Amino acid sequence: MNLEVIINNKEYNVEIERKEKSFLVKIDDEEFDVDATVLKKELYSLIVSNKSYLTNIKSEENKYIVDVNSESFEIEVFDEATKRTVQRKNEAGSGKQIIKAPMPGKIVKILVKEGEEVEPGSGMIVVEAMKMENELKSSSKGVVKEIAVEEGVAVNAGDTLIVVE
Amino acid sequence: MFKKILIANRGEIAIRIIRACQDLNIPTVAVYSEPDRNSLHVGLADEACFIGEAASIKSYLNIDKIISVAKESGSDAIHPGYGFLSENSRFAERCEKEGITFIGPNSEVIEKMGNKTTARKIMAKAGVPILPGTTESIENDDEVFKIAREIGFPIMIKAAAGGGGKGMRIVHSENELKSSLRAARSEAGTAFGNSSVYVEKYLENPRHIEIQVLADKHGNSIHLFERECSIQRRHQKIIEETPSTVVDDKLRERMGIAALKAVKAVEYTNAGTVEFLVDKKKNFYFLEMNTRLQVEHAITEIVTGIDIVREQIRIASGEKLEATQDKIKRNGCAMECRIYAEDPEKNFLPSPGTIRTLRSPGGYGIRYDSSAYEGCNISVHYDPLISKLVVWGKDREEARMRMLRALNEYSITGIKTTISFLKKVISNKYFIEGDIDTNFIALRIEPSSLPSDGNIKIAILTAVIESFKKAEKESLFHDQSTQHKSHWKIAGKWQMWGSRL
Repeated sequence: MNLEVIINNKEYNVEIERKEKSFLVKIDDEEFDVDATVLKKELYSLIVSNKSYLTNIKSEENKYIVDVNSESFEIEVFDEATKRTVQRKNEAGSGKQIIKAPMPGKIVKILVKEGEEVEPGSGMIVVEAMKMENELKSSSKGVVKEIAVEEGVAVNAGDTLIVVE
Repeated sequence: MFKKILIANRGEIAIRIIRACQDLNIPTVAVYSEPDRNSLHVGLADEACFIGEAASIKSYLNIDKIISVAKESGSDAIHPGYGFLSENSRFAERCEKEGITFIGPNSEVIEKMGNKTTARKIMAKAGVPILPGTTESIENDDEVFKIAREIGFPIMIKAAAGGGGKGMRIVHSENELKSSLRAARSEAGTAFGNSSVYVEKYLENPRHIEIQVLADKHGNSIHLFERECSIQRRHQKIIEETPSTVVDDKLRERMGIAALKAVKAVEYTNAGTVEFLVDKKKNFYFLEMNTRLQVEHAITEIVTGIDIVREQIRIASGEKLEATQDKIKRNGCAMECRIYAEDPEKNFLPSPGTIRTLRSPGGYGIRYDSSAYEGCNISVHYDPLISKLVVWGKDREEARMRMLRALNEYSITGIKTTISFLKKVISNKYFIEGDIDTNFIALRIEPSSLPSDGNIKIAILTAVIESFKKAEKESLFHDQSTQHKSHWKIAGKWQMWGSRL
């Protein structure tokens, strides 16, 4: 089975097949013989060339969150059928960044104005939650298109705060 | 001894106190806010009372409600834990008036130590070294300029009613002074309802070292040595250890004597902590006195064998201290890591939510104080502390390696935590050498790091195997519905896969 994997914006080509007691997996050109068992729902034990790992996995359709050694990874897995539709989606949505409230809180300060040019890492807005002030930063270069909130207002998790294009 | 104790707190510290009460065979009353109905402290206590809505001000800070619940439940003592009402002199005073024992010092002492300028004045008089600066709050800006010139820049402007890093400004030169002063006053006003500030000489990169004290109501007091708390972010401690790598026997004795002077000066009772700043030349200066149980009290318990919460309860009920200073011996080293629901990659942005899976560390030399369980919710309304991991070792390196081992065993999914960040600190070369100060995190630790290549590969392997298995199941379903295979074949297939995965 051929799969395409995207992790941290990087693409990997993966081949996977079942062997008698394990899986043979090729990530790009590197080969792994993986003995995988499920200890309980969402908890895997992997043995790869005698090295042992416990991993947690949470899946939602083709998106997975995998935890290994306290590091957490978001992974998308595509097969031949799903690959194309995804590519088209990506092209359409490029260039637009929506800064959303990561949790319920209060807007303390808005650091940018509409029409302002921002760089990756520019401070955009300060939200207070859990008794702490948190500055949200831009992840891309662009122009502030819309500021959807005012200072002092309460916001819910997922609310759109600022749109950058 | 008390008939029943109400614990006016939540989270891991409420559980810590419930455990001490149960060890003493004293029934406990937990209190909880609306979102805390499913919190572990509620389930572990003998009784539990609802006290109000999520916002602390309507529940855990609601003095009237907590007092009325205490009376209704027949509690004759209240343990406030840390945070919330623990250093609120009005609450302690109210308990005194209502005939309920507040497990802590009396309200007068809390008030004196809560006002930072009063505390400085008292300490200076008692012969405890304080940083150069004012012992009165200053209203007049010109006076601040005058004092700043006298003691020299950098200086620190601090809220007189303050704490927790709020209303604090470091000023490096005269031209920043006016705006910093304005900012500190306004922040202090919002945070504490009191905009008075005072001035202190600012020490560059000091160590933060504190002395634990215990004092009974019969005039006996002891100290339980120091805790090194220099590893901080946002003026909040994240790793503590005892002993400190910089404190030798001579300095320990001098700091212990100074701490006990502070105790005597205000006739302190119960458990308390005298915080000091220590400079590169091993001069130490009084910073503040915490008139409550500290988050990091467990490391002291582990090396001294003294259960501090148990002592708090005994002292509050009028019993005498069991140990005298010469009987207090330190055994080995202890270290604590605080695990927060925060994302270290995003400037420690809180990461509330539901813990999906949890695997806690264990084994020799490990103490794990936590209120978390699989499926529990880390609420946006309160402090994001998930747990405290405390280890013992016969020397510092043994403790450090054990901590690293325990952090490696520890797994929490569903929310972001500081576990991997703590590993980075514990493995840092300068931390290993004990070369730390309050600037350590900013100076020595990269806030974000590239994930290790090995972990990425293992994550990919897990994801593609899961994905592959899903596809297999789907195709089986497909086979069943369209091709009408014999039941025997399907059963055989299920069995085969069942035996493998």
